[in-house]
Amino acid sequence: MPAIQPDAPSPRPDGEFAAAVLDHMAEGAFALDHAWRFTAANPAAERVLGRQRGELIGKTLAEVLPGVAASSLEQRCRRILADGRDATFELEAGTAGDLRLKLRVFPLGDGVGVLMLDVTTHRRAEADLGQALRHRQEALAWVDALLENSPIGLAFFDRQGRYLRVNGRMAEINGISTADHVGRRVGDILPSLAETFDPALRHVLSSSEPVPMLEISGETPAKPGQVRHWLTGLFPIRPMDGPAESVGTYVLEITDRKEAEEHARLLMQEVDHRAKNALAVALALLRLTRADTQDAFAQAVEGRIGALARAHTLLAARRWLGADLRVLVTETVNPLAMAAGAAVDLDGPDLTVSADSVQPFALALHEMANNAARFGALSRPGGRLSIRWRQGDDPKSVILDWAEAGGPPAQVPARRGVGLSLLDRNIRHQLRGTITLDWQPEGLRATLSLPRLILPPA
Amino acid sequence: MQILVVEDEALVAQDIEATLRSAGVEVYAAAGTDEALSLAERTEFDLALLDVRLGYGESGLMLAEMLLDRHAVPSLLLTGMGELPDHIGAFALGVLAKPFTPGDLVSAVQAVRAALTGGPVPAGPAGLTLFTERVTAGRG
Repeated sequence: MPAIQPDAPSPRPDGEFAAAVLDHMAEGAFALDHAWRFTAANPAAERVLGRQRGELIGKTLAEVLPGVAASSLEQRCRRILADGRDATFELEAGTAGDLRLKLRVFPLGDGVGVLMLDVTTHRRAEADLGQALRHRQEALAWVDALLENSPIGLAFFDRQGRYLRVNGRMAEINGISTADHVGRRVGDILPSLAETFDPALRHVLSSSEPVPMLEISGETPAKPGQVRHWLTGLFPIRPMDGPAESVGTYVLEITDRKEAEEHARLLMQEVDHRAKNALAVALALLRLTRADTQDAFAQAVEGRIGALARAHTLLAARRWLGADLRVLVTETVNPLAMAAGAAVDLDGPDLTVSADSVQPFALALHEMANNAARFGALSRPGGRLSIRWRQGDDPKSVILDWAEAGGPPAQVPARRGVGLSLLDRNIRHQLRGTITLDWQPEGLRATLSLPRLILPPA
Repeated sequence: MQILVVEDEALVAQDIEATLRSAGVEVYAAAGTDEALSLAERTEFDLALLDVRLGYGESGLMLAEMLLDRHAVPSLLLTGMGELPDHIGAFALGVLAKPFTPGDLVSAVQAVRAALTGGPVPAGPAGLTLFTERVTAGRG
């Protein structure tokens, strides 16, 4: 029985062939009369519409298709009939709109013929593919954004160890543009790094295992002549879990950290050295100090150890780089002057005493101030001590004038005591300077010439 | 025994000199390398006691090498530094850690003197490290 039973009473000679085509074609085919009633339908149309031909014939579109689809199709059929031209369009059908039909509608008698293809699966696959492409593009955009905004240098190598891609930070680290990396090996552009990097790269390529932490040092064109340090890691890129097809690497600059570590290590060494040296000096002070009574001995040692402690406190405040000359002088003489009710006048430029000179200079100042407190201007109220300093021709040198007044008349000491000996040795032996002492009736005048006392400005 | 003391820390130098003189040693003092080399030109020293970190001129390590090369004077290094280069045994007889007592200093010098004369080396103070097997210079 032919699939379509047109109203024509006698079939055309090719009617049998047409009926067979309609029966076997993948497209659904049906015909509607002027009232949009089904007048014919082939088996494919039955499958798509989910009804037997007997259930279709005589039914209207509205009875077969859900409301919106029927209404939309009727409108289009009406226009096609009016225009007399074929039209192809897609229509959502099904109870949940989950059926996508592609329709070709053409005028047929006083109604229309419809060829219908279920494209639901096709359109869903297209949608899925589109979504997958959007996801992929989105993921690539994330990777690109990550690469270009990362503060960490990133690079990818092929199996021959040639750069495939580097990010901006890596280009910045290496001082070579991103484009100029591509196709070249580390040894071609960063020879000082290749010795450490290349074996790690070969290891990752041969084993497909990562090398997570590798410290690497050398120079790059970004800062020629400066040895810099990086923490790098290499990891295999293994599509489908196979062997490494390429290698990724991250590079984090740790030059500042390494320098800070080295600085801290040197500082600790310096502090350790100075602490031991201070103990050696303290022991020497103990052994060299002489006094007639135990109290006088204790007082003398206490004053000298106090001067040592002052020197170290000021040095520590400047991270062991030096000490402020004015502060050192002030802290040495002011307590003694205040205790005696004497006045101190300081005048001189702001200068920094070099680290190596702070201790002997502090001890020398202490001996002079202590002498003034025992025999001179700082021994009674009304005494006056003037200390003035100026730089010499050499920026490291300083000349310091010490003038006492208002104290007891100064006298040349009858014997050279420990204090004077310590003063002399600190000035001449350790500071490589000279000292002149002038015992005037109104008070001691001294001039210290210290050629290497000052830390010149950087 | 004639010993050259090169120590730029004035009070420590003064203390060392006083200690060694009390022990019957003839002591010559210098505050830096130039002064030390000048003294070594004129005097045959048996030993030099050198502060490793000198404020002026070359370091004590460099001075030890120069004294050994130019004047065959072995050196005992005095230092408060925790870390010293591994190769110091090539040109220094030993190291005495700072701070040390007068007794430490005297017994260290005695140990060094014994090592230089080829006699049995007495146990020195805890802070003394000798490299006697690696140093052949010295007149004893």
